[in-house]
Amino acid sequence: MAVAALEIEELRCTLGGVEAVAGVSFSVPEGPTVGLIGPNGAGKSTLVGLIAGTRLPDAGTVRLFGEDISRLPAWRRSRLGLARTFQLSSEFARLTVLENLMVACRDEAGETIWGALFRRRRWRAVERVHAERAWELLERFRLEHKANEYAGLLSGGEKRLVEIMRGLMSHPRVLLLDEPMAGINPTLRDEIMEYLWSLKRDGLTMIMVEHELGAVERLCDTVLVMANGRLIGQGKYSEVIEMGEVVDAYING
Amino acid sequence: MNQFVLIVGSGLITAALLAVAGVGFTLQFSVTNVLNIAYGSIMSAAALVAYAVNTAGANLWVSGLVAAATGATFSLAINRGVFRPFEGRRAGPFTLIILSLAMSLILENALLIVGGPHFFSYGQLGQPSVRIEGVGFTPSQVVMVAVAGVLMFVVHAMQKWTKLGKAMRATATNPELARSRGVRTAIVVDLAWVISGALCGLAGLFMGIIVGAFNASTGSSFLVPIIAGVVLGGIGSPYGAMLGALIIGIVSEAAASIGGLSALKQLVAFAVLIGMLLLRPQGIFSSTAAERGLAR
Amino acid sequence: MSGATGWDFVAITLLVYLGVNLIACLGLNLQYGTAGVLNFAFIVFQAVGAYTAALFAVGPSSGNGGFQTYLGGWHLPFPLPWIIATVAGAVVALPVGLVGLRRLRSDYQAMVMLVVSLIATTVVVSFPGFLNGSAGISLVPPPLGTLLNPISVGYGWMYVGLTAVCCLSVFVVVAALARSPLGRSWRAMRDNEVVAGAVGLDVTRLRMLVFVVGGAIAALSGAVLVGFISAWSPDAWLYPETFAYFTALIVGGLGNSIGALIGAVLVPTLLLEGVTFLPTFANPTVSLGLQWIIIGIVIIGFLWFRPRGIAPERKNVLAPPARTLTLPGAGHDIADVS
Repeated sequence: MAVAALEIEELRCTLGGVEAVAGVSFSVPEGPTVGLIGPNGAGKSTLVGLIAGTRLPDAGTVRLFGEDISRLPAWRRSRLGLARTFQLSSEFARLTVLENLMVACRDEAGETIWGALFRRRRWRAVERVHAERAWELLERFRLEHKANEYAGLLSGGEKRLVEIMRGLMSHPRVLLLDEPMAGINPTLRDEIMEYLWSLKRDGLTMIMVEHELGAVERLCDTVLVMANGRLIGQGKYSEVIEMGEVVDAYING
Repeated sequence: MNQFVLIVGSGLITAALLAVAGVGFTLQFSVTNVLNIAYGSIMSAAALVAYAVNTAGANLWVSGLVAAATGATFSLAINRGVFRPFEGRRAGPFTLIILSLAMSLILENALLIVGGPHFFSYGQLGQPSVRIEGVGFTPSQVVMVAVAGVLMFVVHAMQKWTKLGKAMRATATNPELARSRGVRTAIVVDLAWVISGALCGLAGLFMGIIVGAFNASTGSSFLVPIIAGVVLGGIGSPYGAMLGALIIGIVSEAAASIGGLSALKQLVAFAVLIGMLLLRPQGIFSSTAAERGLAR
Repeated sequence: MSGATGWDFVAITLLVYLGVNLIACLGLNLQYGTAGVLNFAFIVFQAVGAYTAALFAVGPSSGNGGFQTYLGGWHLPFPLPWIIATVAGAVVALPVGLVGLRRLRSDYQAMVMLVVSLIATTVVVSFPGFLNGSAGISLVPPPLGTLLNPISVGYGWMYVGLTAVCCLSVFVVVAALARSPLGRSWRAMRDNEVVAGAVGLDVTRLRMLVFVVGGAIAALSGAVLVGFISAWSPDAWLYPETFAYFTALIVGGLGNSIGALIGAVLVPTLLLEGVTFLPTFANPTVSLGLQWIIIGIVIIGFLWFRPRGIAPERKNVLAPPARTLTLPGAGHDIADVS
């Protein structure tokens, strides 16, 4: 049996005296798009932080393709193939869009003092490769005309696209999307959904935290439901949406 | 001479200064989220004004009031004149601390110009008439410790039982929420700066009494133990400032007494600061530091 | 003849000080403008360089009647003391960085560094056997003093040339680093540290790197300065000096070398050094005090009216690969980004 892309086991995290994540376990095989829904305060953002590495768990494990990453810092997890987007604007405002993309690619020669000064030919060549990939993505997402624009000057939707592109630059194995539709107007939402659908078609494993149930229904193969720090439901969108607890949690919770 | 009594005694005297100064410093941070580096210079200003008044004939109690008033005035002026306008422009924390450093330099150099570069000294303030186990303390030293103790209690009472104290804590935790609940945050902030400024000024007078000689720059040099005490206790917490001041005061005096070198006082305070940063940068009473995101 | 030499002396002094301040500003700009790392103890690293260069150039402390006490005194010829000084700056940056660069909020970190700066001068003054205390180290042999008469005008211009070579080298190094992938990673860290971690950047390592490089550059500036004035004492590196360099950067413009040059010319050189050549209209305490008051007012003014400084950071425009159409870089200034 193939090793799961992402495996969470008995993950726990206490914040300010409250158990924000109280023993969550699930497993995501390679390939599908998994949705994570739940009312505000359910612990979804905390869980995202625990998976991505911006927060350390009190107990439990996170495994990426079998490797235990539970206590690794975020940058290590990123280099192991786990990319993530953020809920709020997280572009590098004073870098151009192109630079935003290229900074996500690692370059052994160009990122040491010695290499930066003395191995210019080496890292220039690597830069060319990265720049090619960046331009490809910019064309695919139809943002080439903004390539040399400061990322801080883009519209909300454009920033979100840059973020997604940036996540893709390093050929990730798992993409973690934290409310990709948040703060985006409805017209752009459809556009972003189209892009996410094309990524899904390419076979990229994605985990998506989202409130926009329309997007969840369209994109996600499986849906996880969280409330009060626990997983209370798991299954196809159509099954999950009928669950008593889900109706309760969304309408009453 | 009982060295233990000497250490505890002089430790308490230093702690008196550091506690009064530290509570003021931490109060400014807790209510307005500003690390006011100009604090040391305001202490120097108050020390010099109080000295002038004292030389002109007033006794130390009056000088103390003058010192407090000086500190309060300068602190309020700095907040109203500089910090508030910049905060209105959404200036970040780094801009604000650079501004406080700018004001520290302006104030300190203005004091240098007005007062001259030489040192001032209160000289021998009375005989060491209070004798405990062979160690002598002057009445002014004892009064200082007593006044500091009373002030600590007053601050505690204010925080816990008065409307102002509650308003200050509400403003410190969440200014928007406090405002929506009817707290007049602008006035609360002003009062916080007046009170902390008064503490700052009084600490300046204490400083003048404790050190052999002082000038316009002495206040800034005291920032080392003051900040060490505040960081140790947990910045933003008045009780932390008191505890930190006590620990730093006694430990630094012990080091100086045992090591025989007065410079060890500053060095030990610095060592404690470094230790705290390495082990627990939020300090002992860490709630304010943690929620303001000072250390991650 | 003496008139000409008089003006020569003024020019030489100003140019050497400009060079020293430019080197320092370039280093601080790399740390703060490019990488967003706060170093309120910057001047300590200049002092490390100056003291190291002095200790390695000067003879043993028993010489000259033994009126100074200090460590070292190995009497090495130029350029060894300068090279060792630069390395010393990098080495001292390691422990300071490890302690001071933890994930603290920017102003909290600045405050800690300020305390480091305060305690450094206290330590040197309180332990006179180490670096001769508050008197400082004097009678430092001028570099290449055996080749040319150190008092001559020719030596002065030679020294200007030496300073210029150092400036140029630092400028080239800083420019190369800023343009490299490392520079881009630093700027990303500056813009958003948490997100930088999420895209795979080891922020701790990046911070230490820029702190060490900046420390080395600061130390070099100290070595150049001490070679010129032949003495160094705690008065030269009190904590406000760091503030003067920050003012220079804020006035000149952060994140770019032209800004560093403009700032270095206007603030430390003209304002601090240049005014000492004007006839003193009052006693020295007043003019010194006024200088710092003016600096304080200047920085408050610039932060209010023009926080980006005179010369803004330049955009890094990349051309698309040959197969695509050439697209224009959008005409925005970095000042437009909030």
